[in-house]
Amino acid sequence: MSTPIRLTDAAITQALALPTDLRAPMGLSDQIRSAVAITPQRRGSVLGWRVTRRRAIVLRLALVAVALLVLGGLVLIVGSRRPPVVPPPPPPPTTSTYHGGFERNGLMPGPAVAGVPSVVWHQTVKGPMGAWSPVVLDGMVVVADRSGYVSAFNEVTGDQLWQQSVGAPINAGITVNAGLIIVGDDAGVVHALPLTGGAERWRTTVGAPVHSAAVVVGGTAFVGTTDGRLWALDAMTGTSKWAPVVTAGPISRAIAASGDQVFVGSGGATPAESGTLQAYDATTDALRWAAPVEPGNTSTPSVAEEVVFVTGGLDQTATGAHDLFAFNAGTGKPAWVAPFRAPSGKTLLVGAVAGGQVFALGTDGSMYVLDAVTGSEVWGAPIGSRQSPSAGVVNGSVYVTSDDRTVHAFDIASHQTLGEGWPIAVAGVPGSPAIVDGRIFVGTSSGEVLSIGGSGPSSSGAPLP
Amino acid sequence: MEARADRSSRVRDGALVERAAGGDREAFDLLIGSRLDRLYRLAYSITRSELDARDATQDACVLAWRELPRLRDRDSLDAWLSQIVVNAARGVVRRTSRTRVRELSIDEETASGLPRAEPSVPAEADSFADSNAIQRAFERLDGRTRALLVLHYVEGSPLAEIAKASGSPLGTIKWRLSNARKALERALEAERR
Repeated sequence: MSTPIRLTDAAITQALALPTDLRAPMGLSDQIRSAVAITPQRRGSVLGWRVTRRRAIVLRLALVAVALLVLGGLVLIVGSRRPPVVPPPPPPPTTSTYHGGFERNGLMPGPAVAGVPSVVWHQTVKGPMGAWSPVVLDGMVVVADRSGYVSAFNEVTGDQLWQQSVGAPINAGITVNAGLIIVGDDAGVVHALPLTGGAERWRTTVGAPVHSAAVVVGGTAFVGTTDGRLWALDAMTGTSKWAPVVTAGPISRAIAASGDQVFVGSGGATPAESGTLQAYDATTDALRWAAPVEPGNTSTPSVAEEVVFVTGGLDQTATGAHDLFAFNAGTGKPAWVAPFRAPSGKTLLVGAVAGGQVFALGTDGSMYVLDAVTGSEVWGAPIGSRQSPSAGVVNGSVYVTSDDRTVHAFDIASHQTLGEGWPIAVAGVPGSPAIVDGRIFVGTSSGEVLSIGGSGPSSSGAPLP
Repeated sequence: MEARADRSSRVRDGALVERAAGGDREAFDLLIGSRLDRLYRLAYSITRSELDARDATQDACVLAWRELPRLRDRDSLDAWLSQIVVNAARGVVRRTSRTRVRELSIDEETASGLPRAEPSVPAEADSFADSNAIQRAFERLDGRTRALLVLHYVEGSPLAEIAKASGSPLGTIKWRLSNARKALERALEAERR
């Protein structure tokens, strides 16, 4: 056996050093010149007017001057008038769904939890819940469980308001739109229940289990099924608007929407089933583009700043690629030079996209934070356990729940952890968080529903009761 | 004298950056032309392949042209270009490694079970054969690990500078470098078997 090599700094430097005469090959300069000649630059523009740096300065100065003039005018007007009428608050949201909204980018309504988190209330439902988050709207927290029950609780007190069976297990996410809860079940039926409780408003048979969460665009609810069909239902009546679209494969994650486009990830649980991300026109059901991802299932797409982020290779046990991709939402072209892969090669999920950063959650117990424009890793943090499939971003903080029953929070600007993680005293594994009105709401795999609120001025990692 | 030449070069570069950011391709050509060898060497030191380094350098230069108007700190052009080349080289390594050898990453769980090098009779890796073995081991690593080793050991960048360029805390970079060395050790061991 040969003598082992000692890896000193000098040995590495010597081995990796390049020949001093190594130069760029002939022709490379010309190739770059040709490629640059046909590549447009990305720059800001105002109504088609190109904003150069000098023009931007002039524009800013002009804006400041106008603002000062307006301010001066206002001071004069206000001084000579009665106190202004306070404008009415913006209308409350009428939709609520998994992962913060239909763009599924984890941006939560907030505000964030203030102080040390502690359990405010704790309830139990009929069956276990998956990774879907509760939905919080109009002072109510709504969850669906695998025993086929939909349950609603008072957001503040946790009192149960109503509970209703749909007749089959539910492994899908809830969407609330215009007072109706839309959710599919394992028997292949989509139900619409009034948010306030009472008789089912409509039900539509879609023929295959629904393991997805619907989006509503322009009054049409888009529902994906495990037989790979995308249904377009009238959100108020349940009537199918057109024949379901056959997608590239089974749909088993939430559908996303942005503008007039619906984004669907499809794939399967084996390496033989190719993963695909597709964009459909929400008004005509026409396929706008499809991009291959990786064998296996495809994650819930997340949309931000006209880019769709998605991961591939989910749910399949064979060794395969598990990359995070970014596509231009309008064209389907890759937005990064190359997709991102965790150093461990383990599965990734798009936890959230906010402030120009992508929060990728790895089953290797790490959170990777990437530059949303380039895909390069900006920072990261060990979570120490497989996390929930989604994170929540509120007011510059990102919250992640992990299967070691802990809530983690990080300040996005400083990359600092807000405490060392807060343990939650629950029996089951927590699912994805919904962060609304200063509280974190989660369901667990043992059928518990939790409301976690702040109980003090500081945010150190004190254990939850 | 040197300081004056340096200042004049910076002024000239600053003017070229302004012009290139405004869409002047000739100015961009001049900017890149004086840096092409350095960028190519950086790409080559990560990819270890002439073809891949060529691809990475070209990808990076085109991306730099596209994004130049959005570069806020024009004085940081060189660091910015280097970071783009590193990212492009990592991307090329990731793509090409799928069709070549399986990558060993710094956190590979299965690799942790590999027998470690015997520490009792160490030998300095000062021979040609040892350097070759380290190079082959390096080529087993993933792009990110390669990039970090190159920046530190080949480019001689201080850890604080790498941390600043990548936007990561210094502690994280130290931790990653330590893991990168361990990954290289494991790859070297795998290479020797």
